[in-house]
Amino acid sequence: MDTPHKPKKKILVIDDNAGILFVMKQALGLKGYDVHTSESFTGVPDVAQLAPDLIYLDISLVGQDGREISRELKLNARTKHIPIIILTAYPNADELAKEAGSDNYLPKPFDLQDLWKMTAKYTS
Amino acid sequence: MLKKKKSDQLLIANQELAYQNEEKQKRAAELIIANKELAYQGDEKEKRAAELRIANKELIFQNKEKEKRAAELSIANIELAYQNDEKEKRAEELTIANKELAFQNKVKEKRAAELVVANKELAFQNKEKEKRAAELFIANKELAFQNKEKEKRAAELSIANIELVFQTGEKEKRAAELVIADIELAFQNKEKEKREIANKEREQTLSYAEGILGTMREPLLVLDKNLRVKSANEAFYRTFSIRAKETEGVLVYELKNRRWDTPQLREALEKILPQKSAFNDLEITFDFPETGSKMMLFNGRRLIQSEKGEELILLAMQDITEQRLLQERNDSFMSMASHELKTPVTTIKTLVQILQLQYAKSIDKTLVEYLATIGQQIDQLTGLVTDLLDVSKIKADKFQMVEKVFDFDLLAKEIVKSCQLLSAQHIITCVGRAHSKVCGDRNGISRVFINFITNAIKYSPDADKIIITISHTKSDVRVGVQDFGIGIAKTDQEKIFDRFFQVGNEKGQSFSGLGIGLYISSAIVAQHKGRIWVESKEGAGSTFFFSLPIHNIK
Repeated sequence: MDTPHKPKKKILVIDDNAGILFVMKQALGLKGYDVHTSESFTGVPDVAQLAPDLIYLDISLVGQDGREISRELKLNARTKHIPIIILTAYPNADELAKEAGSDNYLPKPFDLQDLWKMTAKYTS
Repeated sequence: MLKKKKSDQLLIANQELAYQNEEKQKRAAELIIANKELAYQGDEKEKRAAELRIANKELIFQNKEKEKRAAELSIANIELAYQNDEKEKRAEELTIANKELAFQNKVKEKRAAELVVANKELAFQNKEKEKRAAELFIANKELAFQNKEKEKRAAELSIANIELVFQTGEKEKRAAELVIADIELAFQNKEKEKREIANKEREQTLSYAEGILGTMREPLLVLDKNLRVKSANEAFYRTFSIRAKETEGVLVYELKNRRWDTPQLREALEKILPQKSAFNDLEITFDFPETGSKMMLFNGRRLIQSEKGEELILLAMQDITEQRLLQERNDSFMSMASHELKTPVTTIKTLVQILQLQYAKSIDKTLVEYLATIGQQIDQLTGLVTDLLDVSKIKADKFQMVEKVFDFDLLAKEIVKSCQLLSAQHIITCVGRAHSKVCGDRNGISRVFINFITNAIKYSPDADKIIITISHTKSDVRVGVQDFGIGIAKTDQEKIFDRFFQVGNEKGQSFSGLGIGLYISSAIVAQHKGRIWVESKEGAGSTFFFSLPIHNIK
């Protein structure tokens, strides 16, 4: 791992689809973000320890409900300050984001430019 | 004393003598006067004598006059005598005239008497005439009476004739009745035959009906007017795992441990007989512990058994449990498929976009072109996947609208401009304006509009124009999109707004797409309380319409 001259913004992407994780890593990597990916939610302590500047969270994870994860993170003092953006292919993304208590949502399939704009908005 | 007496006597004698002297004087005066008087009276007598002489002369004159008069009188007398003679003469003449008159009177009397006689004769003749008249009157009365009698006879005769005619008519009627009775008998015979046939047919129908009911795969119940089960078919027993003895005669609500006692069924059944109504597609879900939950569609009808007039209720059921499950599975599959498809689409799309960015200035034009094509196709794929998901959203009533007031003409202008880019072959013209604002989901309405235009392009491959007509009424904005393409058969026009329905043409030519565009459009228009319809002639083209309520700013 390179040690950056200026601290890179750290982004955590949680999605059970490896393709999405790969694309997110590539797309955000192009803009110089430090992208961490996970196919599942491992727990609040891990997130707290990683301390990302922004979380992209899929709603339908294998065996897990993205909304519950979001609520858990938002309830915990160590992680509640981290902006969460719901990433979903469901049509009612706005509703789901509201239920999750998240900061915003990005419906799949998204446009590359929209992804970069959204990320910039929550990390600057 | 004697001397004095002699003196007094002398005095008195003196006084007497004086007095007598005076008296003598007086007598003398008086004699003068009397002389004078006598002289006067002599004058007077002379005067009288003169007067008498005059008077005598007068008398003589008067006598002469009298004589004259007498002479005149004698002449007058002679005249009178003459006149008397004349009078007598006249009297005689009058007598003669009187006689003549008397004669004439007699003649007149005679004439009068003759006239009286003549009058009498006339009166007699009049009386005779009156007599004759009275006789004639009586004779007339007699004639009138005889005439009346004749008329009476005539009337009696005409009545008798009518009676005869009537009797003839009656006879004919009887004859006709007999003919009718014959016909009636023949008819009744035929009816009997028919009835026998009908009875046979009824028996056949009954066995036919029973056959149908018995073999029907759908459960069926017949209830009496007290809502007790009169009969049930095999499918009923099978569907509800119940036996005849637990069913027949049982109150419908008490079936299956009162699990049939649902408010919807009660409401529907209790209206049927009093309101002579019927109901269709009443959906009721039963929870049966042994068979699980069952979704049933009920149709109810009132029946009348003709002979007794007894009212019955026919309850037909359809078990839609399986169908519903399949439908739900189908919807959830579509939703899932769409969702799952989006993930790889997202991956591919993002990677293509990254590649396009990185190789935008590459000299390898083939690579740039390929990437551009992949990008377009991915967008198209995204559209299809989104449509699929919309269908599942419509089914699940999760379709969302963002309501906003917007200018309709502005939207139309934008859409026509962008849609023109989709086809170089078709010239899109727009006629009319809405001059109104509409409250609704601008994106949704754009989608309907675009869907109409893309369909028009798609289904008129040989045409070169598309005409858009925008009009408005007091309450609605109306849009018509007309193409000159393959058109839609009358029978297909109703189905066109159904899910997955797609029009083909007589050559069996098929068109790309999922057949859900109009389905989604109709859902969007319905959500805006608008109307969507089509007018089309096969081979001549179609005009698709939608109308939306105008937003009136208060």
